[in-house]
Amino acid sequence: MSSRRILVVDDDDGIRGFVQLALEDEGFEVLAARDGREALTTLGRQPVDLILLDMRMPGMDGWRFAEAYAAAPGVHAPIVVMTAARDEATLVEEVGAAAVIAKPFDLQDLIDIATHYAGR
Amino acid sequence: MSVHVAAPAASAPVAGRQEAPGLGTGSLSWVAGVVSCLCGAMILIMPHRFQTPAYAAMQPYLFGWGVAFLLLGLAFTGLVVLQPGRYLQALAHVLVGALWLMLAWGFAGVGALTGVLSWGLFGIGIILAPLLSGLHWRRSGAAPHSLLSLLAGLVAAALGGSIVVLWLTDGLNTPVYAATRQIMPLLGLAFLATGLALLLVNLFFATHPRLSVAANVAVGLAYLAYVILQSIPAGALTGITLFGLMGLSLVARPWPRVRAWRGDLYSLRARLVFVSVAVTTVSLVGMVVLISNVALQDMTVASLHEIERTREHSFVYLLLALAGASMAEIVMAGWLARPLANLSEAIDSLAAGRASVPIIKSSIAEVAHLTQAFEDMRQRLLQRTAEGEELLAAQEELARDAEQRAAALDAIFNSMTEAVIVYDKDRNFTQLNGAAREMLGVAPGATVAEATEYAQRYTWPEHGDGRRLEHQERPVVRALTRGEVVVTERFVLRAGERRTWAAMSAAPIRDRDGIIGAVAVLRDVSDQMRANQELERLLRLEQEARSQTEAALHLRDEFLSIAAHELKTPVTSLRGYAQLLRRRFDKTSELEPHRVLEALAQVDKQTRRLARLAEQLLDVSRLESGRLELQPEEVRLPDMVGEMMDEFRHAYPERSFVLQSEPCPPLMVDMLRIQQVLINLVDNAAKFSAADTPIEICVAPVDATGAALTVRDYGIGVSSDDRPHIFERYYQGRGNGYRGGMGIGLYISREIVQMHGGAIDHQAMEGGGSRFIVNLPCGPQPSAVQPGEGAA
Repeated sequence: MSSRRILVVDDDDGIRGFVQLALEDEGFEVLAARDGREALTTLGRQPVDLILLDMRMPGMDGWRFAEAYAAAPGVHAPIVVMTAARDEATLVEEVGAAAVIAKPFDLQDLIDIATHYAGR
Repeated sequence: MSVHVAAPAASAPVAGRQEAPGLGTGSLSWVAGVVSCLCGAMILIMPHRFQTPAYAAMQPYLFGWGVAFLLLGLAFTGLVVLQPGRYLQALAHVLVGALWLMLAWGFAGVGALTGVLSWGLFGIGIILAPLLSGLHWRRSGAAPHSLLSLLAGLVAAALGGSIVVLWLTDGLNTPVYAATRQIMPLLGLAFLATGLALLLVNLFFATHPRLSVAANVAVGLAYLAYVILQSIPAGALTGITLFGLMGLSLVARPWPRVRAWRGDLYSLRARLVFVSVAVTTVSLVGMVVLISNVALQDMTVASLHEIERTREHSFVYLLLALAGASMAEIVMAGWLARPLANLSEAIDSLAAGRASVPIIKSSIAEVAHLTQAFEDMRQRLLQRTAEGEELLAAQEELARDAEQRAAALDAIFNSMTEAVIVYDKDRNFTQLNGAAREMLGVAPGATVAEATEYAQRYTWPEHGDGRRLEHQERPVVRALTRGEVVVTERFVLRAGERRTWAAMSAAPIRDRDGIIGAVAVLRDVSDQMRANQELERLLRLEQEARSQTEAALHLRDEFLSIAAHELKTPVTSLRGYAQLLRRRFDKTSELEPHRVLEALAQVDKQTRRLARLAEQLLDVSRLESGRLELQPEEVRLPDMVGEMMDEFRHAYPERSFVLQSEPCPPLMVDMLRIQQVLINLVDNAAKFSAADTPIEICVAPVDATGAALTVRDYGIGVSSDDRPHIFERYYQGRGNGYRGGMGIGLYISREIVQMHGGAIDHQAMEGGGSRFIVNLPCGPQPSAVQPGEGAA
């Protein structure tokens, strides 16, 4: 288990697709989920080092996911919120996020944040 | 003679109280009384004078005649002054009249015609006087004033007539008329003429003052002439007395001064004078007679003549003495009666309101006592009057003060614009001003009682919401029962159908015993309340408008944030793929072709997505500004939908689509816009339903005038909360979480359908899912085109 594992949760196929490709290029093992429920299922199977979370999703959205995840037992990976909304500070507080990265983000910023929180 | 002058003079104006109602007998009583007295005195004092043949009848009883005449005469005179009872008066009249008739009877025996007629007629008159005195002449206004005057006229006429007859029949040749035979006819004619004249005047012209005076005076002069020309020369003493006094009294009638004495006849003074004169007369006559008879007993025949002369002298002295005594008695009586008269005057003036007449002190004990008592009474009365006047003045001052205050209060009360009502203890009005009448709707002319009744029946206070005030809540009741002072509380005053907002104050009115009423002041504040209500309404409207604006702004903010989110998502992908390719190229200086193709496919997909979002935003903007224009063309709906199915399957490769299509009439619509509507509906169906459920699309004609396009899914449906709003601009379903999109698809769809004259509707389906139905009319089509196209 040398490589670090990252979970990407986003309902948009495009975003999910390129984030996964970019992070795999950097050597991370990347898991993907369409919404909160899928993410929880994935996390139930295997722990991750970082969760990249979109907030507005159909089904279980980012807020409810964060709540459920926080309530779940075990060690918790940091959450980095990816959002197109403007009120970043609020989001950090609301979901107990480690950081926020605003869409559309720079790919290098995403990789830096992932490296910082997931480690290498 | 003075007493005898005074007597007829006093009697002349005719007599007192009896005169006014009927025939006056007072003068007759006076004259007859005095004549009788004088005759009696003469008979007693000078009996020798009555030894002539004319008095033959009375000679045997001369002393008796004298006494009878004197006493009856005095009594008769007394009738006038003393005014005894009716029966006594009648008796006196009968006695005197009988005496005079006896004398006439005596004259008849010697043929003395004038004596018979005069004494006889007067005698009859005296007897009848009490009966005649009550007589009222039928022809009112022509009644004779005096029985004396009437009898004098009658006697004169009768005498004149008889003398003329005697003269014509040579009947005057008797010794009685020996001395005056020559002149008798003239006297007879004069008597006849004046006597008839006086009778006529008395019977028919009694009220004519000048005629009456002239006739009386003429007869009087005739009598006096007879006395001078006949009786004196003949030595007929009775004739001289009768005719002389009769004549004098008739002549004296019109003297005004005499009339003024009339009221005095009934005074204390007159009575005192009469009584003393009568007593004096009787005493003197008695003395003279007594002395004469004593002297006579030792007299010789020679000295008899001397005595007779002395007797005649003594008669004259008697008269003089009587006159003197009378004067003294008048003065004495006046002195005695004066304090009483003065007292009487003082009482009169006091009764008339003048207290200033001084009271003469009298030495007579009774009078002094009386005057002192009166004086005390008068002083007390004066004192009380003064006190009373002071009190009256003070009262008047108070009354004026009160009046002024009342007037000022009245003026204030009635000029107030506030309605003022004063109540008594039982809540009845005691006063209300014009403003109150107007506010209560009381008729202007109604009394206070009517106003009370009206107000209690038809007016009451209400709360603003139309509830009647409870009895105990009413301000006036609170003031009356609890003594509360109510200050400007607002109520609705109901007067029949009219509602007036009134600011009402009420306060109790107290006296020392407690609450005796209340006063209420009402001000019409309807305008103010209306203004307040209007202000509140405007405020509410303004708040609504503001909250709507705020909601709209909020909605727009939210929309913008959502729109930004929606726009950023594809941009993020675009940027991400672009940077990803660049990074790989930088690392390895080459790109694997499948990676590039994959990225390009994403770029294509995301740019189309972006374009669609931009198009939607533009549509909203166009719709809002009314710039969205349709470009209708003939469209065959089944064909159009059939062609779009590939597109849907391509866009949603994992979904199964079911198309049910029937032939439809061609529609004149903007095809691109209708396609946009269908895409919207299919996108929604895909978004809100599970991937393994089918999406059913149906095209069907509607009554040959249009077509219906239906999209049905088996998804989550629309919650009942959301259902009314799903076609609103920016509205996103709240109940089912985030599904992406900007909340404008259905809005744009509805606008487009409505612009075509159609309708879009949503149905919640049993077993879940939604069905959207778009009804489109055929639209305006050239009639020539339709059949041709239909045939093709």
